[in-house]
Amino acid sequence: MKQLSILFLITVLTSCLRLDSNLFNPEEKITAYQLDDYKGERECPDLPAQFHIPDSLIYLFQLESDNNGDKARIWCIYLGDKDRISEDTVILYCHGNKNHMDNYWNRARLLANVNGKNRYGVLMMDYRGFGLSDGTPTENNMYADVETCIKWLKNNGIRDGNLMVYGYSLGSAPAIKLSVKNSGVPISKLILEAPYGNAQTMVEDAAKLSLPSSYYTNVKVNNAEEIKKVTVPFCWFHGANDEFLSMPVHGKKVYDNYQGPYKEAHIVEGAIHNNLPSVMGYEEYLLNVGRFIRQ
Amino acid sequence: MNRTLGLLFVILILGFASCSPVTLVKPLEKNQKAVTASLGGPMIVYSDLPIPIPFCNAGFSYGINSRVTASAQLGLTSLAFGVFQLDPGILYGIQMPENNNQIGVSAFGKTHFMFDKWEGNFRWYPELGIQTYKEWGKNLAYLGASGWFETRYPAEQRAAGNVWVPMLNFGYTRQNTKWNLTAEAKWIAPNISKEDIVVDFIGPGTHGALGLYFGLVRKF
Repeated sequence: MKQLSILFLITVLTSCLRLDSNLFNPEEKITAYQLDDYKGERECPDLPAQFHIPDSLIYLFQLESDNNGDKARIWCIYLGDKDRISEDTVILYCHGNKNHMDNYWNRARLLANVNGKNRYGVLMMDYRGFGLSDGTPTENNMYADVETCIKWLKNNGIRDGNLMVYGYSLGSAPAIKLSVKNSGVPISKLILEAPYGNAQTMVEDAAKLSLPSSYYTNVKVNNAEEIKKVTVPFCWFHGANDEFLSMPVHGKKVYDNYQGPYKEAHIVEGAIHNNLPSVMGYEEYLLNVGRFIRQ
Repeated sequence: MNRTLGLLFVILILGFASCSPVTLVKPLEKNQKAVTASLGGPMIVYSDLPIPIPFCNAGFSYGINSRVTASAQLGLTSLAFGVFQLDPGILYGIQMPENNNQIGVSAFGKTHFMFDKWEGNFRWYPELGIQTYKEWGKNLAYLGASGWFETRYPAEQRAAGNVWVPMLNFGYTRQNTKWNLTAEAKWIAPNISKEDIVVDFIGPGTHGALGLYFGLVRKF
């Protein structure tokens, strides 16, 4: 009996299985970024050729991201003229939890064409463990990776008032976090697409009971609370038929909790989690993003 | 896209999933003891494959008298995740069949206690159920219903607004002198939508999840 008790105690104390890693799904392993030539599943697959980005405006590079001493090389893409960042408006795009920048390449192309042909700079990155980026994806590493990108923009001369952040799905967490925290360059406006409320909501939504998220994960993301601290204008997009992060359960909670000076919502009927721009219509989507950024 | 986000985010979703199989529907004899084990859970789509979530439980049962059996089960999968889950309960024989032509009826009450080592969060959920069963030879088939009850109030403090999570089940047990083998299917939460959530539960229509379970009983 004594041995059994000891065995039990050891099991409890040493048990360490968590579902954190399932929050991040780099899935596909690649050896190089293919961008226009990528043949796999991607966002906005039917994006018209008019949104083409010339090679001269594509800058693929690496940065060293440092999360309190935990360092990793992450890959980033800047769409725009790197030497003119000090004069440009830049959209920092934080992608979702699946795959890598090739999947989101069309989205980046689309955003680069908001308010005119190749009008804005767009910076996106693969968080640690995604695409060709080194390291392990964790919540704090993700924040550090996005913050590293903001510092790169600062080093390249971006001016206060010219940095917008766009968070999609998982990317809503760093987008909100860094809209609150000044990482050297203040975020001017926040755009979220299909954000999730928090880990607790996700667990309860699936469990159907009030189980705490701590039973499964160490992830502390709480966008629904964090958004209360945001003081910059906020624009929210969500598919009314989002089958993954339900609009009323997740996105609306974030939207309702925003207490800043200005907010606008775009609920797109018929859109699910990953097809909002095409269901909304690319021109209409660009118009709405553009109007929000300009005002 | 992020359909896989949760993917296994939910592999341990106990609300749907820790509903262990009814490994005993017929009370033990007085002073009889049994060790129970069960494996299984709700069916989900994982990497395009339908699989049951592999929950594993182990337990002990004791026949207080010929109608009342006390039992307790420990969630082993939960334990591996740092969640201590213990489910003590009582099974009561309402109608004990005197021959194979009669149908037996039993009821049970359980409480699912959970406590995690990470943040010390404690939850408890009562469960009530009723089972009917029919024996022929070494075979026993059963049909029943049960439900977990929410204990966190007011509802505003919860993301899940359900007061209870009902289940319908049917199963088959092969009874030997010392061993019982059970296979059971459940329709979990048939009143609750499974749409627009992070997990792809499998089940008929838009509500509820189908669960598959296997149980083993060693009697002493």
